[in-house]
Amino acid sequence: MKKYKSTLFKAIAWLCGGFVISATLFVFGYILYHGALNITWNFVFDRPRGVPIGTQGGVFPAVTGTVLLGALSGLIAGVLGSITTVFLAFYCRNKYLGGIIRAAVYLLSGMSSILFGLVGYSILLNILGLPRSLLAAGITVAVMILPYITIRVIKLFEEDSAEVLHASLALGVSKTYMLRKLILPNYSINILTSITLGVAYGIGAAAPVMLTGAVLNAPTPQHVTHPFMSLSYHLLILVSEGISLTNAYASAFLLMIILLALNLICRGLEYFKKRGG
Amino acid sequence: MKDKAVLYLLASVSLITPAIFIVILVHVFYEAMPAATGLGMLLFDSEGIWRPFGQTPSFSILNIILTTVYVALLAVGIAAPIGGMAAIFLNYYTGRRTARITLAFVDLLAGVPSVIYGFIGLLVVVRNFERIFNMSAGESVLAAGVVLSVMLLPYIISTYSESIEKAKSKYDTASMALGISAEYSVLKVIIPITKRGAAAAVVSAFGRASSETIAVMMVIGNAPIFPRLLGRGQTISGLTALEISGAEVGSLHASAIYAANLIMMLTLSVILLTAYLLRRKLLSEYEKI
Amino acid sequence: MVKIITTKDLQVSYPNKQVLKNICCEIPKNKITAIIGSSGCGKTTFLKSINRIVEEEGGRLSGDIFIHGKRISEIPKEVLRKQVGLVFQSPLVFPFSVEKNMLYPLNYHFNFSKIEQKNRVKHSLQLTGLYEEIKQDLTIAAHKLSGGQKQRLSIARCLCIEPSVLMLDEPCSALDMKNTIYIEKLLVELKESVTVVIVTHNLSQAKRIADYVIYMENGELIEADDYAIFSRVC
Repeated sequence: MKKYKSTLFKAIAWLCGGFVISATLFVFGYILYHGALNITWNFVFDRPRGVPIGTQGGVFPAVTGTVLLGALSGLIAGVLGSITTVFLAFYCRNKYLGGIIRAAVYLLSGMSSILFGLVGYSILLNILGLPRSLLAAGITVAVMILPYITIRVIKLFEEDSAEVLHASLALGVSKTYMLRKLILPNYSINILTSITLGVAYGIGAAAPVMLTGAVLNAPTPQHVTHPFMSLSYHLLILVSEGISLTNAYASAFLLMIILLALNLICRGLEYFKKRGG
Repeated sequence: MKDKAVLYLLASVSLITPAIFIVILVHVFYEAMPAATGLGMLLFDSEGIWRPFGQTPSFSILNIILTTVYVALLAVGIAAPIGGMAAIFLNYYTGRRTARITLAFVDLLAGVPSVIYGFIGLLVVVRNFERIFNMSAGESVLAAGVVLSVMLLPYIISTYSESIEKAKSKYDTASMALGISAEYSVLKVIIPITKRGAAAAVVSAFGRASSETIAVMMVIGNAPIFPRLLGRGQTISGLTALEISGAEVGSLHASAIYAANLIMMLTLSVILLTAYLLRRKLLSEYEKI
Repeated sequence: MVKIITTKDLQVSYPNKQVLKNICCEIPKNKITAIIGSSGCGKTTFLKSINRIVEEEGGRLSGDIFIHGKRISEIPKEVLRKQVGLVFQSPLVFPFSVEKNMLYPLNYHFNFSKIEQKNRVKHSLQLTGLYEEIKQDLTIAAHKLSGGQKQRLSIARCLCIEPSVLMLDEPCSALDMKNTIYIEKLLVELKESVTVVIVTHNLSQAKRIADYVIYMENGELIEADDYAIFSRVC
């Protein structure tokens, strides 16, 4: 091979690698830097104020709303997702049934986030008559993160499900016993981190909640049928309506910190689990 | 006996996911019917435009579909070569430690929500476009493509890096023993044998790009006109997010939005299926070798 | 005896252990040298240190290796590896056609015309007997060959860039008797033009073809001698 060609190739590879590394650092650095300059304790713990709303004050109801949304959707999707994966890995002996469930999970995981918002809005609000609420948004987000969680946990079981299953069946142990004593204790951390990562993905998405329950100004919801504030939706409105750049930076910072923390904790736990076992 | 009861319980819960998919598909199909029967090919009229309100409403979603495809192609066109070369860079030109740390960071990038990408895109990309191209408003198809391409990078890099790693561990020692340089080995062996994996990654990336909502909506300008690189545009997802709550339930307007989403849903299903088949063929090929 | 490779106090260590200790030996030119010893004694590492693959795997090399009287650390890796071919224990073919497998190293190291390329590929494949077996259809996918054919393809692939030393790491361990004999015969023919170094744990194989024997144990060289060694070891 000609020398210049190989040098050129090397140069392009370095350039692209350098670009990716700097782009990554830029995305984090930009938000963390500007956010740190603009955030105050008052902003975190105050409710939004000013005219138009959001120009002053803080985002405390949005933080609590986001947490509640995450908890609700994580609960729904976590239960459904882990049951589905356990069924697929250890119980399902029918090839077609398994295939249909896997295909649905895979297809659902690739749909646009606004599709969930659209259908959630249409079915939950317009047809079933739910109010614009934490409940409607929670269900919508749960549907969106359900395939995400399921795919992560399936990958987890895929590697050694058959082996574990055969080894414990050979001991004459029932499947439910095996699940209770072996699978759930052994994988509980990974299942929890998968659910948490799904929640992180869910609360970051503004599209599914903007039509189903998030509003610009509301107190912390006292009931699931109340509307709520979401950080990501709040940020979207602050930016796209041009309400307040300072508060947008601070909101983005807060959202980023929450998501980064969730991601780091989960990935860290998974990493140590992998090394330990 | 107890096992049997548990089995049925788990099976019925597991069927919720397929049920959700079918409900969504049927619902979108049902809601799109009025537009399909009432407008027919007018939905794709190249003369018509998207003008839901006004004296003579017109519901052509052609420009919106074209913009969606254009933006996605643009984003993949930028992200695929850069991401691919970056994956090669990480596997060949950095130490294993550096590569692992970088990949972990890039993975974190995938966890950044799209509203933050849109925010940065608006403040950095759009503003700089206004300066560089001397535009009055920097919101444009190109801006959306650039922002989207950064969002695609983590996915492309991690998928392609995995393929490279596999191929590298298998063939690189043999190449080295023949006295062949890393560049030649990458060009003649690694890239050819990972092309199917790369194709699957590109196809999936296109699917992701075309379905992205918030980030694109924030930087594209949201005008349902014929897409031009430096002009404004509107994608299917953006249209849905902005207009569905303002459209009267059961109206042609709402139905046309559903029709656009039905097209989106079917296209995404085809894309996902293609990527799946590519990947499966890839796996069987690895076993064969 | 003309030497082609000489090692002086060769030591190789990986991060967790030392594999080779103070190896001093000489490998005669245009002869077949067999390296014998129990598994894990460092035979493979010895081969990999001669073409500096050890360094790519994270090993540390100290001491000196000379080839044609020149220190290997002074020769560019790619030039060195062109001179010293290495055939691995399990045959590795690239997932292309047989012809492309051959052209891959050939076009890297030489700037041949199409006709020269063709002749060189044909010649190397004929040496290993593969050319006749695959009925001159060089576009056949390499992974469809049998194990023995794959191993002979690996050898042909090394030969087509004209190495002066051909090293083989237990090339027959996964092969049947017929292919083993074929390869042994080939090596004996080859020594006219190439120096052959073969690692084997099969003593009778060493007896059949070797002119010179290096016996290693626990990373140390126990004996290096011509034929007489067998009377003591066995």
